[in-house]
Amino acid sequence: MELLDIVWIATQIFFVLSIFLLIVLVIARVASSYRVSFISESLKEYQLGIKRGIEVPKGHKDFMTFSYALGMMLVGNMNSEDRVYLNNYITKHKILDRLTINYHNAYMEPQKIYYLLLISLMRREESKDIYRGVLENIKKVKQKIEFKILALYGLASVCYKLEDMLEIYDYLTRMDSKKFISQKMSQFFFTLALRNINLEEIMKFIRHKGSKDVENMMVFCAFLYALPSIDMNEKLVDAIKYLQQSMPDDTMLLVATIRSIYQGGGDIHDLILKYHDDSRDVLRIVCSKIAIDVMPLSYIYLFVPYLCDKNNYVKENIIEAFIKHNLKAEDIIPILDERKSNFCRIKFMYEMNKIQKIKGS
Amino acid sequence: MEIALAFFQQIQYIYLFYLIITNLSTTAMTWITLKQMILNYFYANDLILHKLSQTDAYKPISILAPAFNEEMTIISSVYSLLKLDFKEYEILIINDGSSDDTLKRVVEHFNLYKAHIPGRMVLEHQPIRAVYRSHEYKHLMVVDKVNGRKSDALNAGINIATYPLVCCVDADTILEKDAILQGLKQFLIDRRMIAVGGAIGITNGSVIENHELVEKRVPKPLVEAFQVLEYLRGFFAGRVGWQKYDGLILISGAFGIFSKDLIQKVGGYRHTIGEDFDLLIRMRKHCFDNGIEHSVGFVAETLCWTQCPSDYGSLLKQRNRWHRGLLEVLIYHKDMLFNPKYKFIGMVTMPYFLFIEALGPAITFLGVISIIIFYIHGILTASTLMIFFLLEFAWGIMLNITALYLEIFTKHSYTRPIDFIKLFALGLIEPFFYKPLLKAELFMASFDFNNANWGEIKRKAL
Repeated sequence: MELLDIVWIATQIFFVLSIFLLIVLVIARVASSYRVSFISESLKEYQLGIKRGIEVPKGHKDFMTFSYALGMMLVGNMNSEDRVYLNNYITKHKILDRLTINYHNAYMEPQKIYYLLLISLMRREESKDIYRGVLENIKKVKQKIEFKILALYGLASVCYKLEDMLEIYDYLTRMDSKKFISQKMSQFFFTLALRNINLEEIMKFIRHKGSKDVENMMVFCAFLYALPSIDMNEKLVDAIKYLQQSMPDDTMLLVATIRSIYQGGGDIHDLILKYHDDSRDVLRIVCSKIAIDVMPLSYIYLFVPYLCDKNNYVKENIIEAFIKHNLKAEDIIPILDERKSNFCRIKFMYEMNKIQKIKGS
Repeated sequence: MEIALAFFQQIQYIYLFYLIITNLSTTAMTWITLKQMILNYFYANDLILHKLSQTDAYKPISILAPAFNEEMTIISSVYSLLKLDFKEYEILIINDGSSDDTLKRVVEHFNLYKAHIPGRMVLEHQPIRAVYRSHEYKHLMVVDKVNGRKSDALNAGINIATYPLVCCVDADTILEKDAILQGLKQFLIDRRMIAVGGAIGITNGSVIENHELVEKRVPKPLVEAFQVLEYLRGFFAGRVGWQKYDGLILISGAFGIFSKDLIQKVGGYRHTIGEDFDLLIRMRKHCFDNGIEHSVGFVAETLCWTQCPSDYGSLLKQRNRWHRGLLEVLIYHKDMLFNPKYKFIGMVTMPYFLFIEALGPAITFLGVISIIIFYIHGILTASTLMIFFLLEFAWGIMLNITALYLEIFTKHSYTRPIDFIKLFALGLIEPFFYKPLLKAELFMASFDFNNANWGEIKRKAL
């Protein structure tokens, strides 16, 4: 057989394959449109039906859509009465059992992921073992990150006590999680987890993890960033401050501490006064930014020398703080003169004039 | 004569090999894309990510839009950026020394004032003349600087940008409302992410009302309509596949989200013709060289709509520039070729770009010459001719049509039956007219390698 003959046969085969591909695409397209329109039509119908207590549909496709509709209701805003009703409904109709069987029987990874999502949306403690199974054993799958994120989402949704929180923290600090999951995503999981945990447990968690875990600073900071999502009382603020003091000096932790307390409405004056003149740019920027909002006039004067800061953001933040306190340039100049910073004065005058002009216009 | 014929016979084999590899790889990529689309269909992570975006666990982003002589489109573009569905972002329009009224229009329209904005000179660029801000839109800034080309403008924008992620867009683009959120998802899911790109669509012919793309239509002029088809094929049957195997080295300059930190580490955009191509390769190279685990993402949905050249002259100029950019970048990064240190990129992506994309036009040209010579000498068999015909045209038609189906399958941007019919018909004739024209231009571009001219493209008002 000559080379050309081989190429000729190969070309024919690939050509046929292309036609086959085209046919597959057409079928997929039709099936997909049908499914999308089915879901959008059925979703509302099912949601109304669930409220009326309809029977769970038997067909596979209907059940998937039905579960999704239920999940959408559960993650949406609803009162506690409705939540109790839905939980009872899930138990009565053994919806979780069916989803769990489907999850275990699913062969394709995307299907498994979809069932895992539906399970996580149900927010049931009984599903914890599935999540643990995913987090412990998942290795040889292509969509590893997606599985892990869903499992962690599921775990965070049913976090009610300190042990649950520690479990999530441990999974997030494992090497294979640290490599993929972003700090923001970790913060999201902690925000979910913190909803149902009481303050005492949170304080215990801070004491238990924070003081020991210097190697997982990124995850711990994600936890700190999630704290403002709950009502932070004075005790909690003190616990965070105490923790920060007891740990090695770390910029990431300091910034997270300051921001977290500030966003949670805690008293931050002492930390700002301590770090507003720190040699690290990021700390001075954070302190000066927060000072605009929280510092009383008497403290604002302390920031005057930093009008000459090498960092422009610090300068801008301080000028903004002056404007917020209605300070006039004449109030500031004597302090600048005292420090003999001529360049600084010129720059300051320029900025003040400009901003005041803008405000006036 | 015998030596010449023997030479052309070798050329024919190379041309044959080239056609098979091109079509095979495109078919394979299409399959991968199809699989990915089905996977995406099952993914419902969107629900979780939507919840996430409602919390404080998101990353703010700076959108950089360099503008050079964009007076026709700039106002619409700014409005489309202002309407984005995202919590915290800033918009930096960088007027790169436009000689038209780009700056004047934007300053007057948005009632901007001159402001003192700090910029860190981490990356070098031409001097900034002024920075403007808006009273009404606090997150809008306009940077007026001395002309220095797109790469220079982007470097200036990066220096001024406040946030850790930068989204580089062309000033004539209209972003989908959820474009930033879609791109950002990848950064939130995977912390190794260094850059994310998205598919680009064409605005020509579409209905734009109140600075928003309200109906996507296939443009009437053939030159524009062919490009719609070409973009579909390029994005859906190419980038998704490369991303799947972590081999993506090109994120279009029209829309890309990057880690600012890493851009600064590699020295920002280099002043080349293919600056977007070059940047991503340098970012990835830096990661490989320093043992940084990284990933590049691609959102297989049309996130951004841009204007394509509306006449053949502008189109050929643009493609000429793209090809010169490709050659320049490949030569600059030649040490990565067949280098196992760079894994899939070194062993597959870069060689593919060299042999298929860069040398393709020359191979095609010589291949066609060889067929003509063999025909003249009466030694061209019917089966040989049929093979070339099937490989060059019939298979190409199939791929065009599958790309079209992929678009409909994923986004369904074009909803009118007439658009679908039009694209289908264009898919049938494209390999006979449009493709050879572009290939001829790219072949010429190979000899015009030293030309650093950007080439002006005519724009229409949006």
